[in-house]
Amino acid sequence: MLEVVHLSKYFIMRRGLLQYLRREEPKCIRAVDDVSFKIDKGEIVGLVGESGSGKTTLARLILRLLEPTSGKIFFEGQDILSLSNDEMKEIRKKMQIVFQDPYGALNPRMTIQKILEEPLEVHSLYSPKERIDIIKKMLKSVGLNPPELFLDKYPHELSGGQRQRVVISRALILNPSFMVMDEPVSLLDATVRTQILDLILRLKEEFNLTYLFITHDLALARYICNRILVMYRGRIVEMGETEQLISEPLHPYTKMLISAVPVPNPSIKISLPPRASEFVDVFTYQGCRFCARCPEATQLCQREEPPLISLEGGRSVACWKYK
Amino acid sequence: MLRSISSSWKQFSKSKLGIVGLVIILIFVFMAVAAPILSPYDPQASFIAPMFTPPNSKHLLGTDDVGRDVLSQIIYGSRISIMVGLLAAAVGTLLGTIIGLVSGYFGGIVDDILMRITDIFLIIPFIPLAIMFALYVGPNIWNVVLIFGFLGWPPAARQIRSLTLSLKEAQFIEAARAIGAGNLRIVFRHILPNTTGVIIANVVSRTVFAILAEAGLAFLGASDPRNISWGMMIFYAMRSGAILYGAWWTYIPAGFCVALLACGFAFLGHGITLVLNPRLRGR
Amino acid sequence: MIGYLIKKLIQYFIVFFIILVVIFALPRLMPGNPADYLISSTTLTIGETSEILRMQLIERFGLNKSVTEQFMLFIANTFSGYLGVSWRYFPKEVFTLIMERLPWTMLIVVLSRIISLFLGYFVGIIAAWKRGGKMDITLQTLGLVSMSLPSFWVALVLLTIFAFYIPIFPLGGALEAGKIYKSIWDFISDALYHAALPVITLSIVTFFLDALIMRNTMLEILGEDFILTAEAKGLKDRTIMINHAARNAVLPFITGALMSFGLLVTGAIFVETAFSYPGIGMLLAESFFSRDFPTAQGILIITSLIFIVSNFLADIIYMWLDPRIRLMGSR
Repeated sequence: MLEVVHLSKYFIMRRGLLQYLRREEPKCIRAVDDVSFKIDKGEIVGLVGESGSGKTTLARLILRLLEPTSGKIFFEGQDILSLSNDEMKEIRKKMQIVFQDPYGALNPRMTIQKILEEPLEVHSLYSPKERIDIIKKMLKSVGLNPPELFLDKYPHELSGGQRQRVVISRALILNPSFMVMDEPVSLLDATVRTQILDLILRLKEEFNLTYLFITHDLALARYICNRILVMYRGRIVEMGETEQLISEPLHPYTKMLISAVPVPNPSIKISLPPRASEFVDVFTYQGCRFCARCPEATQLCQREEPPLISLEGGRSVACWKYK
Repeated sequence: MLRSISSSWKQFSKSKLGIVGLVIILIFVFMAVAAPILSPYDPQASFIAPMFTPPNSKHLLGTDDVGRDVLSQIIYGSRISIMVGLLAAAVGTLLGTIIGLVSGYFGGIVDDILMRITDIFLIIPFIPLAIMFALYVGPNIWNVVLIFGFLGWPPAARQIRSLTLSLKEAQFIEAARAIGAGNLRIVFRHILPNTTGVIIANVVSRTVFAILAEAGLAFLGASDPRNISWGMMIFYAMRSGAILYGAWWTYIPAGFCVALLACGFAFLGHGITLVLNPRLRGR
Repeated sequence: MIGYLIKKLIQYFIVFFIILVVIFALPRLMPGNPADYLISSTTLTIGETSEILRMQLIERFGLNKSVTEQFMLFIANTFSGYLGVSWRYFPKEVFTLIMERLPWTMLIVVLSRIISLFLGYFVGIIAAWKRGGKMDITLQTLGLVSMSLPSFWVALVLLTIFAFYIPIFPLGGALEAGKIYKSIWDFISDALYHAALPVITLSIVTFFLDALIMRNTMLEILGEDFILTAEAKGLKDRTIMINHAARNAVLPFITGALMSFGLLVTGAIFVETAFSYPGIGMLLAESFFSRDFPTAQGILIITSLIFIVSNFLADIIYMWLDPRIRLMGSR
């Protein structure tokens, strides 16, 4: 369904006039660095990492909301980076995104009806009359019942959960086959959270969807995903089947993440990992980027960056320990 | 739409100054529209009474140097002031909005160039340039509209640009791109409707400026002599030595109207800023 | 730091250049030959024969040469201070004419600036001190009002009251006509006597805005940390205000004031005309009437220059104040 090959995105920092005149090399931040993975039809793949790890950038690259620095993206066998704007527009019907912030994802000046009508309008699908019926059907299937109650509302008149349902229905209305869920529940109240998660799972079956589910919460990923990718500072450091990865983490970073998940039994003491406050110089580093926080780092780790090593059982890990 | 207007109105109505401004403007607009009904005499008819007749029951504001009724001229003069003021402000804001949108949305080198140009336009001395322009093109009320329209865009451009920059990062813009919306659609359907508040505030504040400029240029004689405007009335009064005749009614009320109308827009702008900028409310 | 100044300087140079281009292009954009157009509109107002005028124009604009050459000539003339010859005060050079008038404009603008800034400074402090109080609210309202006042109208009101009905000030002019001065003090006092009403007018128009600027600067500074430190040290309210905030507000306040200096020179056009005060503002109004193109052009060039210089001075002070800019480029 989706294959990402050696995908990278470097953000170039702007040089001032003086730096430009001095011909200083522009500095860059490697937000996504040489990432490769595959998603099969019907899967829910989790992308886990702390904030700033490049998860969201990766999501935007896959949807071609950002142009990558290098690499390839294949969607249903098509190299989408080589597509023209018009061809890309066709692909957009099939891949959609649900954003983290249901407040920011809806134009405050548009009614719910307008918001849901827009995708159909952009792709000139159906007659205006049919559109209304489709919108109503869609609102029903995301649990906004009765739909007539919501059509003329503005986003600020809805609750957070309701807004997220609208965001989901807007993504669904074009009948996509693949959806990126960018932390869809992290900003919602705990009670609403489970409802939305259940909705997301139900819709997957109902509409035959494939998900890339982005989250910083490993416990949540475990609950939802078949497979998990762990990302750290722009790189995938480990991937594997959910249960295997959680029960037997290989990368020190994954271990750290798992130990950070709250444990139901309070008698077990958890040692919190140090935060990445001491930012390594992102521009010039060499060696493993987890080095500074890794309890098991060696000389080799400081010198050279480990590649993503494939192990049996479909697992991969980027750590010298497994070479 | 209606609901969002009514909630904005609620905020606005808390500003007493804003309400006062609105009332002032509405009175003048009414005056301009109903001028033929309201004015007691034909404003252009000369010697309907002796020159410099002081205010009396027949001529509430007396007559000017050629015996025209001052009150009637003032009533008709509101037309020019309001029209030129709003038009100049609208042209400037329209240009500024387009430039700000383009600059903010496309960014990069386009933004750099447009913003440098904006910086330059910010320090061009308007009034002397407008006078020069009038000197070449001949006195004409459109000069003011053109000059202030075409040179008056920088403040709007700056504000719209910075707003666009922040809107551009909004997730609903990304969502629109994800569903396949093109640049035009994003700019006109998503960004522009979210800048209406700033646009209105800008039109209002630029109107103050344009009203004063129009009156000022007319006072110097650089306005169309065929139209009655408040500035023009003062110009004629000065030229005929009204001060020395003690004929204050030929220039004081006209200038007062300029000040009052400009004040109305300044107050209205103050009220609108409160709606747009809740942070200032406490102050 | 130098980099920043150079950048600004380049920017201002471009502004000036653009103004020159506009001035150059305007008569050439009019339909027909610019020389004929200019002559036809001026022969009525001055007594010279059109042949002399034509020579004048050809010399001034180099009209027999190509547009590029004309432009080079125009630029060269302008930068060497030759702005042409006035048609109204023929054969006086425009530059000389402007230099004769400029001191009068400077006198009233600078005087009013000093008065307005001085009063605005203290009123601003008090308004900031009693933020939200009656005086503060009044000041804000009056700020809006004064922003909307046509300066020429204020001038006429003052003129009517204090020169016509209660004749304590002269009706116009910069000096009493034909008066012979016994001493320099005699001259100065006469000049000040004539400048009084124009200065008061300009001050009224700018005072409230100056006070508001001061108030806002004060409030900004009062939000800063060192004031909190002073409070923590237990210093009294009044001491904090006057010794710390007010002192720190002086320079930003002056920067703001400088920026508006150019604007005020333009504003003086109206006030001078109302008082028949012989500065460059009135000269511009006169040249408009007598269709004295070279003079009007010259005044536009000079006022642009004043605008630019005062903005540049404000930039320098601002840079001196803001260590972020001061450090820029020295890294």
